[in-house]
Amino acid sequence: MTGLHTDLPLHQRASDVAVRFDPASSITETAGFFGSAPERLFGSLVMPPGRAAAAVLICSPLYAELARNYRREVILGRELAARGIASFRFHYRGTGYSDGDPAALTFATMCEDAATALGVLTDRCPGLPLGFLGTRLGGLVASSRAREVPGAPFLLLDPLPGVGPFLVDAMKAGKAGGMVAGKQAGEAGAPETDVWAGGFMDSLGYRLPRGLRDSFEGVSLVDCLGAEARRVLIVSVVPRHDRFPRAKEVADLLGERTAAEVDLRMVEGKLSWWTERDWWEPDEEDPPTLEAIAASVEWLQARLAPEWTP
Amino acid sequence: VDAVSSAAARTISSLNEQPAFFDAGGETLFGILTRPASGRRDSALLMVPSAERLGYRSRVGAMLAHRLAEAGHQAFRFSYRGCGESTGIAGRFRLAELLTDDVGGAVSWLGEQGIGRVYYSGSCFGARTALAAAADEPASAGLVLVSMPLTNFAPGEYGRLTTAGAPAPASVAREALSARRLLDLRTREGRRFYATAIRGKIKRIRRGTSVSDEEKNQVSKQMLRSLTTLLDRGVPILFIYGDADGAYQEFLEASKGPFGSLIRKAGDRVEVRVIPGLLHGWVSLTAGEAAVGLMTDWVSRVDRPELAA
Repeated sequence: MTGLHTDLPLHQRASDVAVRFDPASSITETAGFFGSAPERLFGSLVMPPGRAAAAVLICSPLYAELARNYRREVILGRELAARGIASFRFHYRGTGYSDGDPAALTFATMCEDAATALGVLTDRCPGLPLGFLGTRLGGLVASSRAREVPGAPFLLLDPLPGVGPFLVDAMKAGKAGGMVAGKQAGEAGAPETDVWAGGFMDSLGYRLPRGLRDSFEGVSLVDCLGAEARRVLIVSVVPRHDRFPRAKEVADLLGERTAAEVDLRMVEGKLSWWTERDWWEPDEEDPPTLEAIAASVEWLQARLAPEWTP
Repeated sequence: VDAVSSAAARTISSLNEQPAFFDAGGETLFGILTRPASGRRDSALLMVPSAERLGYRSRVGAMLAHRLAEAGHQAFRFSYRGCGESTGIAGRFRLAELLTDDVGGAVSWLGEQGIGRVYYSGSCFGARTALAAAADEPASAGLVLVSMPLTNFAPGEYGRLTTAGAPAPASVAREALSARRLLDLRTREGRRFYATAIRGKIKRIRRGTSVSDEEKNQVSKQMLRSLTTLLDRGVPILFIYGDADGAYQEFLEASKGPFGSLIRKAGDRVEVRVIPGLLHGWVSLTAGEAAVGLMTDWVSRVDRPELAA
């Protein structure tokens, strides 16, 4: 069921966004383009029924990881709204549906986009307590905004300490894809080439600009978040045989080098970020995904909207 | 980079994008209609998603829609139920259970926008869905079918059957018996992991060997019926494959039978274009960009000029 919701910021054209009102939950979703061309961000604002008690900025991962995580974030946004918490998620410029040049994507532009997105959220939810959520590299982006809001709860989903593991995963996926293509085309055994030749890496059809890699040099989650005290929850889906989960490494780092009070919740399950082996089953029917979302939503609700009623 | 940047800026300012929620089979789906900045048409390329969560992988969907708008055409991309911003649950994508209701909802919404002539396009599962939906819609104007499988195996199933049915290659056996792996057997977790992996392999071998080569290569009868319906109507069709696509091998094999007779009989209404490399899944930038170029050119040739003001 669709409905028209006209409570848009003044700079927003009605034709730039689509609005869905869910009569069963009374949640309103506004999806579309925010800002003005050629720098529009695609995003989705999810508002709870009645008055929101708090608002959460969701910073997504990139490329294949964005696609893998997309539905988790959609479900999470709807679950948060059902508990009185508004949320806004967006695509970085040069990625997804947003405007922008894919070759110009850098950590700095991602942080600028997060600032713009936070502006959209606070415009719609003025004066409300804020929370931040980031997944994978989105955790570094979210932390750059969270540090501006003292004490704001900060949730990390399957976090990375820096860009290194992301690039390794992307490179492995690119090479594996190339090997499959090469083998089938009868070109197996081709000499190794520089994956960044031409100024970008082609990993499974995603164009990763070298400038993105360079812009993350020296950037760490610990430095982005700052040393101030705040509550942090790390939620990660971890296979049973993984004896050195990255989430634990990140939790230890934050615990040692910041004043954050860090909780770690590891959910047993399989989650592949750059291969599609577990992509065929819907997230809505995947117990580890649902457990991770439930843990995230409960934690944010307890900190941001403990007494909210519709 | 400067050249790319200026091209990107030019593209964005020369088009309009209209997001929409629309009803389809009891769910609310999300889509984006991309139009040129000026000029009116009663047609659009409908980009039917493949069996992945964001439909056309990464920026391919946006790239194709923007290229078409730059060339004066319209495009509509959307997410299936349970995918992207849409409501519902996608379920498992199966070629025997195509999501034609979702495509029907998109076509109805386009009709409400004054777009009555629809060119259907899709890749892999999306191509099969586009084909089936177009056959049910008398107003379908054309089709672009990218890496379309001709058999009815579920996504990923064919590859699994082929590899699981085959004996383990020597490299896998060597890895399984390597000192590093054998050391894992010291721990309870390691032993449990090994046991699970071996059980899984045995199960897959049993399942894999139960399918004959003949069944593996069987062309879908439903797909043939849809294709016949459309070609009888004189609808133009563009097939695009990567020469490393598994589906292209199916295409070559099927071309020796009734499928081949059908497309040869259609004459120049059917075009087949083959790109070097792997196109399936849009996993290569080079192949993906080449396919987007072919699709844009084809739409520009077959779509009629814009409506008079």
